Amino acid sequence: MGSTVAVPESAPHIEMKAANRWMRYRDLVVINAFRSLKVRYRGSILGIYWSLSNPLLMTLVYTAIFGSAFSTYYGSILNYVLACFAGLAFLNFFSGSTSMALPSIAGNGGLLNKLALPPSIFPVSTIAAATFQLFVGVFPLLAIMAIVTSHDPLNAVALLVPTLAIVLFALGFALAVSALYVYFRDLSYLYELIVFVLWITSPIFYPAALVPAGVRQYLAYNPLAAIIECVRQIVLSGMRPSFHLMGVALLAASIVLAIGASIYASLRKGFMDLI
Amino acid sequence: MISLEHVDLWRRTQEEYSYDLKRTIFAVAERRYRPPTKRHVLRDVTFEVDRGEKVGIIGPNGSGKSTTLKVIAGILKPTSGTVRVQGEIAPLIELGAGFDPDLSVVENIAYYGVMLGRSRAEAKASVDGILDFSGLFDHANEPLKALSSGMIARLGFAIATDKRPDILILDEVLSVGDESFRQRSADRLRRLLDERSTVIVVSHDSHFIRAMTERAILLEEGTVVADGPSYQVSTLYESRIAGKVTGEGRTAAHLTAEMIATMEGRVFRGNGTTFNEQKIFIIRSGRKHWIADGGYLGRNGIDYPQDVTFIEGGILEDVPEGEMLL
Repeated sequence: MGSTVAVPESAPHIEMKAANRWMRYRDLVVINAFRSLKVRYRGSILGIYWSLSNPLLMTLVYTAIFGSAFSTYYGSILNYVLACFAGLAFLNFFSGSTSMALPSIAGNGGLLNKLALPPSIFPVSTIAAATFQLFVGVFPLLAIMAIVTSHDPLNAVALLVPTLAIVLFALGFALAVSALYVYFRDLSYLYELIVFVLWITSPIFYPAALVPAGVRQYLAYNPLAAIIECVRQIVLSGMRPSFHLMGVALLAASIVLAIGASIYASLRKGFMDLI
Repeated sequence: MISLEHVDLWRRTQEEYSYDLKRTIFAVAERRYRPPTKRHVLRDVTFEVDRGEKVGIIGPNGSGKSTTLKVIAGILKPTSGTVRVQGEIAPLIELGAGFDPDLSVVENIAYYGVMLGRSRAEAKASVDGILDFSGLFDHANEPLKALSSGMIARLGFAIATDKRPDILILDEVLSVGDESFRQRSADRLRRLLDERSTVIVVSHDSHFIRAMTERAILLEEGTVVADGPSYQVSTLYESRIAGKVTGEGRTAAHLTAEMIATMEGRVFRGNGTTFNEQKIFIIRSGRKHWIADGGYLGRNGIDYPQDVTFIEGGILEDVPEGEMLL
């Protein structure tokens, strides 16, 4: 029973070159994003615009209930409608994409146990698919609104900044919660609560001025509120984009992404024992 | 081509699988939280596989066979030790795992191909050949859920073996599809085996290992027990299983003697086989294999049919299930 001792001439590492690894990662994200888009919108070209129906309907409901009460804060009912829609569209992107990313690593456990894949492709491709939808559906509408109010195409271009911020913000959350979900499968209940807190503390359907000053100072720490404020400034104010607001939005989103990525990285080691 | 050096792997135990936040918080609050226990799954596993070698990994359930494959495939990272792999690995995963039932056949080919490690362009270019091999041209644009399970298995096999990999990993025996497809897939497998591909097969079936490979590695409780010609190693495996089944200090031969004394099965002729310079005989009962030393029977005064000789260990394929043979 002697063991075979034939040393291969060279045994380079299993690791691919960084460039190849990046291309492979990109391919994996693209096909998984395509897959979820195709499955969701099979057989209807207009399907992609279905994603608009949620913020539109919610705007309708909020306007019907709060529109006349809050219109003075916004100048007019129309402004309330637009502010509400802009906020809801971004918020909807965030909550929809991250709650789909939440179970994505655990849900693909079967594949991860059979193929050597980086688990992060699942949350990342969920965000990628949602981002594609955002750019096809909501973004052009908001860009047109920005041009109409400001008469300046620059505002439409500047809209890319808070859009990038919300994508990074959602990506950070997606990485963190999909990794945590592997360990805690009852996280979805808690996550609903977290999303609700972020949602209610972002002044979307109510004017921030209504909130007591003592509480309002804490709302400033909600990065989602900063991003939505930036969107509204660009789309609704009619003024030139505020660099200050754009900077705050991007910075807040980058911090969230960095935290999310490090949570993911520190939990990654234990995944394969749990899925 | 593949080398494992002093690979150790610790994993969390199964009981720790269902974790939930609520219970963890309560456990911490009540001070009865304990960190998850870990199990030593692979212990100092060291072996090398050369380019073109066909190697079987054999061992009882839970001995670390599949875990070793996962370590080679890069799915699991060893706790310590090094794993080096040169060349592209094609894991022949459970046929059809990873398909999306809502995507069409063509879309699935492209999707699955990329998941298996090809680029998007390569995966797209392979579509026609795969449709052709699996005979699914007429169903190309149907959603996968409209196909029969046999068709899906055919598709999985066709995709997984479309491009000749450097290293082929098999975790199960293939028997899919109708007769003609079985023939074609067997041909393709044989071609993969004959060519320069390195093949690693995992099984707890010693016949399969003997038929498919020249060399075998026996794992027990995560340790390499033997590594050598597959005939010898698989025989050793059989004898060790027999030894374990008897338990309580009784040897395999003891039990064999008892079986022979009480059994009413058919008796086949054979010449025994030599193992460690000792003549041994293999008996199969149902799915279990027993090993006996012929001299032992005589020494223990066991009364067995006078005309009995023993068949050789290697030719047990045509045994009807449930029948006892000598």
